[in-house]
Amino acid sequence: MEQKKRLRIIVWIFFGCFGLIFLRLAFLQIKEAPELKRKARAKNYSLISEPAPRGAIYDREGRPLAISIPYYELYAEPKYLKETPAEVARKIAPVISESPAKLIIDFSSGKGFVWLNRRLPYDEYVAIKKLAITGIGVQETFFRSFPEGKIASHIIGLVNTDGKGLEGIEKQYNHIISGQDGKVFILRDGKGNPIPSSSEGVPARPGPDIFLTIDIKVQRILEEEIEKVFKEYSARGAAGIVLDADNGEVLALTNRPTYDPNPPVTSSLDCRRNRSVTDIFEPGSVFKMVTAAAGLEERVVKPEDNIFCENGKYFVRNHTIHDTHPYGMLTFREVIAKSSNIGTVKVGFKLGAEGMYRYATAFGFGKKTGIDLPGEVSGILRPVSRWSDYSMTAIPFGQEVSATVLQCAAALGAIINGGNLYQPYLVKGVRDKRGRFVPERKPVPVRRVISQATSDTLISILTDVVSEEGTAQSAAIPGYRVGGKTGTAQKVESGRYSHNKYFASFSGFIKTPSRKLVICVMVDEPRGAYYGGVVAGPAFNRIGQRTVLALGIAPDQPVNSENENSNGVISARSKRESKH
Amino acid sequence: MNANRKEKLYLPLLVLTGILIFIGLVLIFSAGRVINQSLSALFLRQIIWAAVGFTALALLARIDFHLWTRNAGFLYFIMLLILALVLVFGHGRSETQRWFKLGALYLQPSEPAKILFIFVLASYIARHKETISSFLTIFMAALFLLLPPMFLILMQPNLGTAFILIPIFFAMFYIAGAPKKNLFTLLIIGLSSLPILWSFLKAYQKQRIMVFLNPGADPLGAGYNLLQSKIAIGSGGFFGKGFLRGTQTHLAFLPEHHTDFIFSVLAEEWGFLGGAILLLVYLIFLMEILKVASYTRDRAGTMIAVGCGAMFATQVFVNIAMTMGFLPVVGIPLPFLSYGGSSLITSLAAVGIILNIKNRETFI
Repeated sequence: MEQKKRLRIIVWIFFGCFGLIFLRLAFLQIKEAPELKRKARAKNYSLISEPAPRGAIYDREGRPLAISIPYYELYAEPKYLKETPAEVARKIAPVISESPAKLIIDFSSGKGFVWLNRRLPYDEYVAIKKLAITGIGVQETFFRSFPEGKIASHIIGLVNTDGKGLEGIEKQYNHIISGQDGKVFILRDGKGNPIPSSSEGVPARPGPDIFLTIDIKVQRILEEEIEKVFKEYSARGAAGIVLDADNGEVLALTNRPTYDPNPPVTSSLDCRRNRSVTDIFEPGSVFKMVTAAAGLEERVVKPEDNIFCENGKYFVRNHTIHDTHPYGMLTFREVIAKSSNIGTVKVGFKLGAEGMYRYATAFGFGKKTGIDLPGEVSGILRPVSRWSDYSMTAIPFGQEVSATVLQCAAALGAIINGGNLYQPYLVKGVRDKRGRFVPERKPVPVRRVISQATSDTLISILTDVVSEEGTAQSAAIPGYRVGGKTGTAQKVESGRYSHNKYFASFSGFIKTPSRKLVICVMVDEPRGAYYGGVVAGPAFNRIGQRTVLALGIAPDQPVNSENENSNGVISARSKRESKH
Repeated sequence: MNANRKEKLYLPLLVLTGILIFIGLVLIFSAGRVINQSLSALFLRQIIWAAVGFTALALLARIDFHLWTRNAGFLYFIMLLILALVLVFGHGRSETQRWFKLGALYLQPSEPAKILFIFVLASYIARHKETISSFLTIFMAALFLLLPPMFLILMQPNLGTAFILIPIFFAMFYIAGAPKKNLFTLLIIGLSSLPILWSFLKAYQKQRIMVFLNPGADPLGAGYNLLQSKIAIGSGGFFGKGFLRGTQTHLAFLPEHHTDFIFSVLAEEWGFLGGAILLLVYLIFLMEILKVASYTRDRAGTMIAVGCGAMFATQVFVNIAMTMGFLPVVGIPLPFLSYGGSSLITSLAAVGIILNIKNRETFI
């Protein structure tokens, strides 16, 4: 029958159509399923990052220098309110001291998301949490606070509004203290509205805390004294470092101008620069330490050798070298104490260019110290092949070379600690998430530069610098073994040495049987005076005196009355103390 | 042969219908479980529609279907009238006028119009039994019976329902014994007039067809539904995510998921297994209808059953194919499953009529 046949064909057509659908369904749900499942997941979960609290930065005694303070942002998702706006407003308004009327307007605004309070205090946060109202949420955020303000700002650095470290330790250790932001997957509907209490994900991992080598007491002293000298001489800039010569720990470091890292940060970039590591200067006479160390270590000179200082004018290699004060015959010891350029150059000649360069390099000049701070520069120490005929008439007393204050401090540290150059560092340890204290690093000895004997000899020579004979009597601290080297370097202006702009510096040390501290003070363009011994020496003295007190370092030297008389500041203070 | 037989309802078809409606209710219940609470009211309403529909089914199963074929002229008039009236008094969303608003109820006249169309055509074919081989018979039917309602439905515009009339028309004439040559000729005439049809289409319909041809082009615009539907179906995998566990459909990624895209809900929650079972149920259901068409000795009855079978088959095929990105998105509900009173009542009414035909197959 035709009709039956045609019905069968219709049946086959139905089967064909359904077969097609069946195959398509199988294709989508079996073959393409993994891909489409991935797409589905991507579509209805959105990843929200939950900020991890940034680790705190403490000084070596655990005193806070930078901390993250949580605050809470209160918001409403009116769509998800289960109670009427009026009811919710009545509950919340008293807690956040807001008028219920305003809240009702917020809830009825038709918006999917409304901020109710961007700075909710903790107690109110807890109160809101207790209420547990669907559609009302609180988000925890952090802001960075620097309780010490300007103190140690160049070391600590600062963070931007996203909480990312921009300078200093905050930048250098950003990867560590940032922790790991949490990932919260929030289930959302097709219109993008988050569905309450549907989140899952990875909780935020708080950043570990960092402990610095900085001692905030010493840091405060350094800040005050550097500020004082900076102001007193209306200087363009200043820097100071207190370094533990025995291991390279930086106890304090500061620069002027400075800034307050607490927001809003309005300071210029110039103020934020950590000059002690980012800026170079010609060390001038300070560098004579290096020449002296090299000469003694290479045995080309002995402390008591006589050196003729040409009465202040020495014409050599078509070049005249001057001394500030003309001298005739001086012992090598005196050459350094009185800072004779001519005497130093003569030692340099005996040493030769190669020897000079080798020691300068060994002391770390021309290379970054590797301190854990961003932006450190290496300074300038050209290889011998690029030295001119004049180089050897300049480099021995610190011209034609440039260094950072930190490099000078590190080099002096090697001179007084028995000859080992240590890498200066700032981070003493990290306290991990479980509260365990993990020493971040041990002192890093870079190399032995000079022998113990040379070190001892140099200490005695550098001690003379602060004696009556030396250039920096002002630096002496009664009762302590103090030494150092003044630096009065002319600044280079358009390729020539300036006659009114100087770097005045003093790189000195305090040595007791238990501690060896290096204290460097550098003043950029002081006005009114420019000798290192005059400008930086007294600052060193004050820093040193206060630091030994702060650290409880006992005096081990007999108080020398001569010394007392030769130093106005000290004698005045000593007299006052003796009255008690 | 006896009076009792006459009153008995053919059980397999009824059971299959019940199964399909049950599946539909489960899916609408699940689809209604969106945060938006008002949707769950859909579930209750669909139950009411089902009740109304079953009443209609019971009634139609008891009314001799010859009543309809005898008054085909009147029904033809009613069909054109309601389709024309909806254009004048109708309500609708975004440029479309598909519904009569009666209080809180929206009635879609194009749904019952499909049944009326089947009656009219069945009556016509029954009356032109002798001249069925003539091209004129089929051509006149196309011109005066198919084109007017199609045109009116297209004017709403409702591309999907208008399209459904075509397979119904061809299936009925095919079974009636119209020469294949004539059917092909008519098909070719129809296809060649497609460009004219294209000009009738609204911009959004043209866009949907363009999107179908290239769905990736505009994933957030017109292709959104299609892509979302595919993702929903595909993410269901073999076993599905489980009852009420569908995320794509629940989270409002898929608009219209309780109506035209109900199959996505099924595929997402019940997976390939659920989808395949549903297809099987539909297939058995269609076979039952064709069985009725085959066994009845009443030519008009055969025609009506074939027409209804073609209607259901086309709707199922087009709807599911469109949710899977196989055909362009046109507003065709899935029989018995999609939410919507007009569609559900019409489908149940059709089952009632088929049951009536089945009851009478031994007579005449």
